[in-house]
Amino acid sequence: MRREQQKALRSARIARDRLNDALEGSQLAVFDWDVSSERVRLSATWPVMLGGEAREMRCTAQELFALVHPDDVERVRSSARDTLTGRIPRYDVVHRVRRLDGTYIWVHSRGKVTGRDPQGRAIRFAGTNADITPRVTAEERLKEREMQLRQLIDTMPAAIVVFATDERILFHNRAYLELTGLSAEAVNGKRMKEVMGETLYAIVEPHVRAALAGHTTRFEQRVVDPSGRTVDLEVVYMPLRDARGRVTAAITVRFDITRLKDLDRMKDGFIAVASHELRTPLTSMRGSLGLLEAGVAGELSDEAQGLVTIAMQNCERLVRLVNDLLDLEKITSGHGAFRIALLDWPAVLRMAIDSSRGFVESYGVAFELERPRDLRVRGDEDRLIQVLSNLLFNAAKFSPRGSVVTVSAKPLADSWVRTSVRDRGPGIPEHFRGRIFQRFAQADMGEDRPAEGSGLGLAISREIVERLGGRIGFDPAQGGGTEFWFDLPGTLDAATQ
Amino acid sequence: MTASALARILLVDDQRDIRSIVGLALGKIGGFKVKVCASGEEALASAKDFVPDLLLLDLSMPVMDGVATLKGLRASGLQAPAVFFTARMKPEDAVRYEELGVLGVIPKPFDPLKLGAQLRDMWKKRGAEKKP
Repeated sequence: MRREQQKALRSARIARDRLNDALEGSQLAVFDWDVSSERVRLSATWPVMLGGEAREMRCTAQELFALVHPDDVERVRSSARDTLTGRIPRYDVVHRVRRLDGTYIWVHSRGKVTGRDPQGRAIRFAGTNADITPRVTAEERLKEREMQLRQLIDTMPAAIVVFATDERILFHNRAYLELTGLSAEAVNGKRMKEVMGETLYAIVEPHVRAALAGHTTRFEQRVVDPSGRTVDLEVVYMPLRDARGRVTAAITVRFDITRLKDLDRMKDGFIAVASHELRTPLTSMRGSLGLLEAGVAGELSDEAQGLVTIAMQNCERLVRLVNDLLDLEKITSGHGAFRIALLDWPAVLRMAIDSSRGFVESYGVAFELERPRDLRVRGDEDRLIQVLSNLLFNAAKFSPRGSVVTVSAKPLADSWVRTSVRDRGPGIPEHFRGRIFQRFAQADMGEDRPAEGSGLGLAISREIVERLGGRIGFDPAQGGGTEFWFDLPGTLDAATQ
Repeated sequence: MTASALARILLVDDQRDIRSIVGLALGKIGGFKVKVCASGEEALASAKDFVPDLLLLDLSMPVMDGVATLKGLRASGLQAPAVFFTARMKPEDAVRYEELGVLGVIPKPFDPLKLGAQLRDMWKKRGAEKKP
């Protein structure tokens, strides 16, 4: 009998140790309250939760309540009372508890009445306490982050809307309401079409579809805001993806670019005026010199003739400079629409060579068009002739008299076409190569600098080629000289906008 | 209206320099009979005394610009074709002026020595179009 008792005691101890191990592992603290005696037994994990050493403890219920945060204690007491009286089946409260070092932790307490006397009065009440401080802190941080993000998004000067795949609006910021004059109620959960109205929706529908299909699109739009102000917008539609990369929603951001546009319009106006103001005196200067040179004011001496010629040449140069500066400005600012077409490339090359012959003859250089193939290039004919003329002009300038400048075109992968202009000149000095496409780069050439040209030809050429979605560069040619080249797509659908 | 010879040109430009240069270039070198006016108003006033074959008008002038001057001259019964000078040419403008029945637009700066030949070319092309 005694042995059996010992055996039972041993198993009970083992069971208790296992339970304590499990509790320690799960960081659960257990309480067992003998209601009639007010005594509470606490598991060894209880003092650990409060920052002490692991040992089983006994205390009174009042001592336990005294550990609860003053702001939470009433809630805890009434919940315990209600559980004891049977008003609620379970005790389930989240509250703060003071640790030994005086700081508070968040605890999730759960329990129930485990024994009642024949009159139905609770005699035992047991349950667990779990330290959920990390979770509560994380939730608080998340809430705070969300609030900060919300404020950030609301203070952003862009109108933002997030919509689901069924085009219902999931989220919007304050700027969107300000731009549209709508209330949050008129937007939240509503479909895009409903919110925007038929007319506006018809404009954005392709973009909505594209974003939900996984593509980013952008366009410019002019709208009138609720105050009657005309607003220039840059609108971006973008897909939003989940961790697996599937499109789960889309976002549209509208940037107010009115000020930029206004500045742009001011600049356009300024350029038009500057263009006029610069060209008008140049017209008079060049005209007067031309008439002098033609002998309108009588025969000129050789010396006078020489001086007039110098003045004339520099006048011409100034005219080219003004024209090129304005041209470059027009291209870089995105004005002066390009007329994009699929061009009969050999014909364009011939045209460029023919139109360059006049000014190039003086350099004593010949042009040859190498094996013209039947190629198509996507671009603006006039602008590409301008590029070719610049390259031909440069090639002629730097070629020795009597040499040949070779123009060629060859197909690249994906229907792209490489066009090359090769000279037999001295090549480009090493120190100059990195800057050759910059504006006025030739200014750094010192004594080698050619007298003609505005110094903008290559900068303009690069702008044109890049605006057409292509690339431009140069390589030292085999056997001396330099080969300038540019690559452009040869099909119309090669989207390069 | 004759398509055979371009002899008489009415030049309207508010800038004295341009008037002297163009006057000299067209008169002394081009061999045209040129009447020079400094404004649209002056051109309207002189329309009775000088019947030109061609009008050469600066586009940007104060008070009456080139277009207003042209309309004024047309209203006074002058049907001579016109050519504009401009320092602010934009590609889309060319179409607008064509609609006004303008032979062409000469951008500034221009070469005064070639101006006469340019005007004769424009004149001839128009003559060819007008012939049955």
